[in-house]
Amino acid sequence: MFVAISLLLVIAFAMAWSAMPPQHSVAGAAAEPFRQAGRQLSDWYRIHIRQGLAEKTPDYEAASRRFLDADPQRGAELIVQYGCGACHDIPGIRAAQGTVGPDLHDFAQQSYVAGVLPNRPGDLTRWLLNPPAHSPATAMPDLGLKQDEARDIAAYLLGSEVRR
Amino acid sequence: MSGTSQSALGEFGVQSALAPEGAGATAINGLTIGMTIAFGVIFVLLVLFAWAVLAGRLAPRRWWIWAGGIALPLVSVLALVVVSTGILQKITREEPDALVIEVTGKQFWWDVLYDPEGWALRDANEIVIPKGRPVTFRLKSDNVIHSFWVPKLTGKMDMIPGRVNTLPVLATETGRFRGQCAEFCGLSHPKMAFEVVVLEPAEFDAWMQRNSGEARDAARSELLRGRDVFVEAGCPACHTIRGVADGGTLGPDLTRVGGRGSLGAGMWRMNQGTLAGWIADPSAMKPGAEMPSYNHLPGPDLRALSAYLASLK
Repeated sequence: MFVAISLLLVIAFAMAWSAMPPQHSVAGAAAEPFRQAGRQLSDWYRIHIRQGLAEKTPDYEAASRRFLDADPQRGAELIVQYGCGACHDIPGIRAAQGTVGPDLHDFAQQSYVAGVLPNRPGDLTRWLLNPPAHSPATAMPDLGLKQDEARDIAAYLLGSEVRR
Repeated sequence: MSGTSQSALGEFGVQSALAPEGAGATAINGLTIGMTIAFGVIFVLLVLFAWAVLAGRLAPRRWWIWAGGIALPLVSVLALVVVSTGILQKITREEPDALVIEVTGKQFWWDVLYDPEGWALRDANEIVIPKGRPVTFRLKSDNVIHSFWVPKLTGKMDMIPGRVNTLPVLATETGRFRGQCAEFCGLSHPKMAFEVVVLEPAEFDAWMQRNSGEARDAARSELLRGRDVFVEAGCPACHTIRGVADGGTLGPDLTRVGGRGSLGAGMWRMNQGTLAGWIADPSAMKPGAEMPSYNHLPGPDLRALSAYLASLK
């Protein structure tokens, strides 16, 4: 009984600890090694166990949306900074409730980007880099995004169905 | 999610009366802190007294009523009146040679007129002032009551239709300080912010020189097209771009619109994208805004117009 309770306490403590934003607390900094160990463990699980199970039914769709080195969290910050919400309703972005352009909820379900490019990571990134080049009649301006910025924003948009 | 919960204009100056950067705000902050300390001392003394009496360590006396009920409040309130009146005198004293800036509260934006009797340079939503030089804001309204408040610089002052209120400011640090309408004025009252940009005096003079002329020329074909769209779509009925279309005074002056830090009176970061979104549907970005939607413009025209406006720096 005692063991079970103390185990529960330890688990609750560890969960609270890992939920703390690292940049704001000393405790968060101390938790970093544990966090990394956890990440390694989950990576190992994904690669060795789940992949093995998934091989029976490969998820080509998910694979086609996979980005290399993209940071969707930074993409979300860039969306706020550039003010994409002036025109678009974007899931997870508080101020983004625009109605000028398309609603971007469940964007990954969409087959085409703006009706002209297949909705794949690379094409979405290219669209964001220079919309008028792909669709001369579009109202969406070229915002002067850098390659890595466009890639991170695309990663956020394609991952957005998860956050619904 | 840390990135999505913060304001889009997070770095545009913190709005805090407890971190003053102007003479008025410093005096008010001192008064606030002094009052809080005095109140704290009185509160602790009262609790000690009550505890001593209830614990039977001190026998109550009739003269306590005279001392604590009449003399003490009289003295402390009088002291407060004297000190706060002195501070009010100090922060509302107008310097005769101050730079006059007339600010008129509109439905959710601010019309700014520098030196109305001399230069008469019109701008909007971003007020540039020199550091260490006295400035007098002449505050007006032509619709409902607004209130002009830059917590880091000085106290707030109402803008009342049919009245001219004055508010002297002396900025002691350079930087960008956010201000906010502090009197409920309608649907988008919480979205009616602005910025005061404090520059070194020399930089300020250069800024005034640079901005008192006509708007920057359109240098590319897309920008020229944007300028034509501006005129053809009827924008000059409300907006002025000096050197392109004069006379429109219903909306903000757009002569240097692309050079402002924010769009929609402190709400969105200024860039071509947010400008395009604004033109196509202002009321989605600012409910109750008087500007109609220009969503009948073809896509390329909207892009050209927003590119042109963004280039006006």
